[in-house]
Amino acid sequence: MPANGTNGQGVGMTDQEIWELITYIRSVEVKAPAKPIGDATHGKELFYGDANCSLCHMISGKGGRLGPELTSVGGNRTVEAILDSVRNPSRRLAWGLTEPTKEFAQEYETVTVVTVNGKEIKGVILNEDHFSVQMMDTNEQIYLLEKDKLRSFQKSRESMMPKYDAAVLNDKDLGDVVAYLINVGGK
Amino acid sequence: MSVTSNCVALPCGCFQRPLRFAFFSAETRHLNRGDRREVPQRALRRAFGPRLLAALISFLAPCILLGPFACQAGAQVTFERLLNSAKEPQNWLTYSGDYAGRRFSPLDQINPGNARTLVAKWVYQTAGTGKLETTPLVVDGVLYATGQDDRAFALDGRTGRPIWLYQRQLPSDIRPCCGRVNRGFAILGDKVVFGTLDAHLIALDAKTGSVIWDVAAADYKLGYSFTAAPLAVKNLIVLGVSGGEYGVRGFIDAYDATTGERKWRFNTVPGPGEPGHDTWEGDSWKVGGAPAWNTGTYDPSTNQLFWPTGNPAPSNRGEGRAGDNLYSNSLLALNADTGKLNWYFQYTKHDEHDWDATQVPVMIDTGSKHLIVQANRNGFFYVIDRANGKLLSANAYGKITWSDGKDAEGRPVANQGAKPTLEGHTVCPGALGVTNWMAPTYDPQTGLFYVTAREQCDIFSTAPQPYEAGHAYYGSAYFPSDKAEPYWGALRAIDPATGQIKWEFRHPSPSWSGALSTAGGVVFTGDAEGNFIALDAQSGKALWHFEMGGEVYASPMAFAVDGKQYVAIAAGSAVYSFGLP
Repeated sequence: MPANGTNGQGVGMTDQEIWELITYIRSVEVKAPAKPIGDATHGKELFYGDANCSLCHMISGKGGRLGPELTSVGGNRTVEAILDSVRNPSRRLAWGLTEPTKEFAQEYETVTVVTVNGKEIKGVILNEDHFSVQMMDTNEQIYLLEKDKLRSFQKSRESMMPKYDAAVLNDKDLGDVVAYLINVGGK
Repeated sequence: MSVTSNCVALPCGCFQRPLRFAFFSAETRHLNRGDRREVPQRALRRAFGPRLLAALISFLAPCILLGPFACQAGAQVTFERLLNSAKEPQNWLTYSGDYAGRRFSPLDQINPGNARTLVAKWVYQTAGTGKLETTPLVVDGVLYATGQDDRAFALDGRTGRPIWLYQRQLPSDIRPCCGRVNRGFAILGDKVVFGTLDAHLIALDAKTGSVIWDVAAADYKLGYSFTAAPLAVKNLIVLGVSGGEYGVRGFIDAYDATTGERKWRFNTVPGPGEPGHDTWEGDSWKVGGAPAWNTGTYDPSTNQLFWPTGNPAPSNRGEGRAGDNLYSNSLLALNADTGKLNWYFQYTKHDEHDWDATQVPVMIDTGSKHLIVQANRNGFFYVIDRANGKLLSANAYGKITWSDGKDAEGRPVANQGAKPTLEGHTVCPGALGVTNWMAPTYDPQTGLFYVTAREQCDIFSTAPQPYEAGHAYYGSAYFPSDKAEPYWGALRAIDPATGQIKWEFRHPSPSWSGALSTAGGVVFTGDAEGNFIALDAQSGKALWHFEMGGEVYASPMAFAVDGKQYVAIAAGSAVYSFGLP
């Protein structure tokens, strides 16, 4: 098989047709489970409050920018996938982006650099090639850096998002946050 | 540049119909069509006077009548020119730049000392969607390339301005497995020839882009298509078919360049009574795949074509096709005149991982050794004796888990643990191989072989799949592996003598770009992030790069016009040209 850079999936289809199909499948997805898995109102309070989700994640224009924007995540991810993303935030990152998902340029890889002046900056990669890196630090400052002018450049597959185990966010509260995400994403 | 130099050397007819593009002459660039026709007569009158001119015309009358033929023969891209492509380094006459498949340009203006000053010279947007895999040809200042959906175009090599555009009207139900792509033309005489996604071979007039002949090679509804660039040899156009994903029965064809008549076909899956037929179980040979979807090479000294073949079908399921499955994943040495098989070497027997062996087989001569080398999709770099097909060495040049042993001939063999299962398990390299169709290059000056390597492992699974005509026939699926390292890539420089990697230039993600080496000591390649990159051929040090704004799925080439060297590559939906300021 010659392979088309899209992992060979979608035989006989153009890249555009594959994405049209994906878009269609997403459009007919069930937007919310039949049974709510938690209290969405409490989930929203947690999201913007004690659980600190909004420090890094944005929903409908409100929240942080360091992590993925989550407005629609409840409409196109399974409950299990969302739960897993919170409990094991590094797991998906460890895979690396597959070619079909490269349409989404950002992978939220963790990066630590030391500039020529000795300043250490830690954040997520917005974009990268062999020669340069664009990154955002925890203060949402964006840096456009040339790699050959850095003292060090270190990438990590360990997500900057802390692992939310049951001690940090118990199962009920997590269910409430997921209910909120589904409530928003299903609209 | 000299526009009609080949023509005026001929005894007759050239003024009648200069075949080259007269408007490329500095003198005639601004003339309209009528004016151009007048120029030779005015010049002749000035040179000989009216009376002498009349005598000359009557003396040359038979010649003038035959003129177009005489001129075509002189000014066209003859087989002689293809044989001696190194003598015209300003041109790029075949897919790989020469018959040996080296993708090496003898041009040396761009060197490690000045490469940092390279600038973009022009960009040609195809107006098509989807990726470009083409390698342009350049003949006497004119660039010929193919594009998405079987479009084709000729450009002024200095400016990128179009001369003509051809667009194939494709049926709506073609079956390209992996993009509506084409990798380029062959040129012979006054024709540029390419294969289409609906499995036709088409010859276009190099001057106008109009169709001279159009022949159907196979039924596209069964999954046959052409994506590779053909190779012109003598008066033949040689081309292998694509479609291993659909259970085609592969073949390599040769067509008369003048008429389009098919002169021979080599079936890459032997039929009943033919040698190798017994390497297929039952009727599996009928849908056995073994396509030949890349461009081979040619050895004039033995009149042999070296053509590589692809996977057996279904690609990831061996049940139902017990045996070695000849001539899948093989290197074939064919008599160029007849298509008769002289010898073969099968890289991967009874393949269940889609280890297509269609990578360009490159001829290398070192001392008295006449070798053919290939960086195979399965992750091994093979060195073969060109005289007899005997394997001399096979060394891994990427991460390998599918094989940990070799047979008596030294051929890597699959281990049982790598066999695809229903549940699936991780195998390296991944489904797309350590390399794929992107072209490697061999630099005779450094003696190094450069190839794009992909470090990626995948989960291979298999499941029964009945054959249905014209439908996908994989017998499998594959997935990203969460046990694998994140993907990355590199351009690697391999010493063919030892198989050792001398250096690598890393990419943050696997690249689909081929590579070009040049006599200036600069190797060019591209990356998935859209960069075109110049590297020091000796050290691999980056000398220069340019962000083209689109992922590279093509292999670079070099040419010169008006004495200036250019390097060209396709990225995104455009062709880019670069040169010194």
